[in-house]
Amino acid sequence: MITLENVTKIYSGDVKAVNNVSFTVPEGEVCILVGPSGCGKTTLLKMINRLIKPTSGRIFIAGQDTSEMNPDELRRSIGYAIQEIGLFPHLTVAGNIGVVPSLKKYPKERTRQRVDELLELVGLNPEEFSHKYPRQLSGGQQQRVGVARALGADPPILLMDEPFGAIDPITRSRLQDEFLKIQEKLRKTIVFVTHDIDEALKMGDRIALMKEGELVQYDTPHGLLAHPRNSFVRDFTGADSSIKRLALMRVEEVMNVDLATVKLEQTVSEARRIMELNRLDSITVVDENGTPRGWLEWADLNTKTGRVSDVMRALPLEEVTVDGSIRVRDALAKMLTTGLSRLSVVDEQNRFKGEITFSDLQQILGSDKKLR
Amino acid sequence: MAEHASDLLELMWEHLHIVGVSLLAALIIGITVGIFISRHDRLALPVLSIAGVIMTIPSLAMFAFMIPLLGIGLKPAWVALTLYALLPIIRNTYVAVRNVSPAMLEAGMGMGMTDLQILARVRIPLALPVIMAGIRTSVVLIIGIAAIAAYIGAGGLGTYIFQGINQSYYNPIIAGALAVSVLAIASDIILGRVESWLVPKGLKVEE
Repeated sequence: MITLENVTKIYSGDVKAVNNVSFTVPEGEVCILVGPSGCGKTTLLKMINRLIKPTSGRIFIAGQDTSEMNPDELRRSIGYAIQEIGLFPHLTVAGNIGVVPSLKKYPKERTRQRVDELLELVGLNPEEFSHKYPRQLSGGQQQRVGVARALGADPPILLMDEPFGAIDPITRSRLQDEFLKIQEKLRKTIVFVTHDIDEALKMGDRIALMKEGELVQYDTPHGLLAHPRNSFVRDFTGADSSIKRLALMRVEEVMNVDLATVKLEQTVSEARRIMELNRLDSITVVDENGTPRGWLEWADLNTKTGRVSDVMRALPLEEVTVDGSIRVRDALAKMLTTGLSRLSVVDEQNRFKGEITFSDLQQILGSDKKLR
Repeated sequence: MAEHASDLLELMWEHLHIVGVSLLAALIIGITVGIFISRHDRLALPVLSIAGVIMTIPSLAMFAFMIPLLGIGLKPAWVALTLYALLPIIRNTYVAVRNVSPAMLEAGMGMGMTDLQILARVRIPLALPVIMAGIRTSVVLIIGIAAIAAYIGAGGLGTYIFQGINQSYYNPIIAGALAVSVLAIASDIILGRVESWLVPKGLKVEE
């Protein structure tokens, strides 16, 4: 969808900001440009929408050479979001989002619908936010409006220059998650600049790691971590690259499933039988909804009778469970803080789905435990 | 006393008339020139310097310069007052239109706005408060200077003041001076309201 061919930018004094970079971003994918300060990633981004003109080389969008297009028209078909956001203070939120539609002369009603649609998409209630002014919004809200504005006329391509850079880490993490959900829906072709390797690994389908104007490695996150091309790549991704790999996987991809459970109402003798059958030392106890309520150890059952609910060890849900969609690294963090070597995995309705243990994680890091 | 009051009102009206015409001319010329030099940077310094020099010419001298060219009465007053009103307007327009935050300009360009669209949709709306401030400065300035125009036969509230000086009679002096002051203050307040009305909520300084 976006192809860069030998793109070079030389500033006066022979400063090669970008040196002979070539790669292709497939349609519907997120390509992250990442690297240390001065590596040329922002310059490269701005050459795609021709805010900066390449000294040599060509850039093709959907097969068309961008140098042959009218720059203003080109930019109207590309969404652009920058770190400072740059919302127009004299326009309302609706006015800001409606800028590109108005440049493209959309009828008013269509623009209004589009604004409402986009506000809902970025998680802002249209009734509440349409008529607010930028100075009335928090940083996170402004950034969301910035993204909505970039999507104004439904461009197939989105360029983003450190859009979450000026936001606090907690809000940033949330915005990143929401952005990924939006991208799952919209499947835009996105080129995203960041200096944060963790953000790159989290957000990218493909990563272009740059250094001093050159493209060092263009690969998937897994490829970059597992097969770094040289020591620069290894250093940049960090000594904790194995733990970073844990950040790429979701718990539901690696958890143990098809585990037997016992229900609260069952008797101790039934529980004993189930545990013997499945050769388990301990087993999770669930209620009628399938929500984990505690667990049984084999040792507890030996001399007891009665119901499972009387005998089990109960524990608060939040402490011992993790949602299946979270990253494995976050599950590891939870294990370390709670001191538990085993966590139950639940879905959004808190139903038991599986288990993940510390030794599973060791296995993943050691070999490449297969993802299901 | 009553006839003095109606005289005063008539002179006030005259005064406003002189100021109004000059202001209109200064607005049209000033804003246009301000926008023009914001797009042609090389002209900015010379134009602003000339306008600045004009401002520093003492008003009586200015009127005196006009007389050989335009005679006495309203015409020289209008020209002189317009010239005085120009600097604040040109300078504020130029500075405000140019000093728009780079992030906003980049956002505008990145969205595909042409230069002219950036000017109309971004620079000018954002410049409005500062331009209005310039207009208010000019208005208050020329209301004051217009009082002196009476000396060259242009009429206005200055007439009262000079009459009083000639006749060594205090009442008209004070009445005229008060009237000019009230006019200036009232104009500033009214223009402040206009500014409030014109400037979109989003730009107003937080309370």
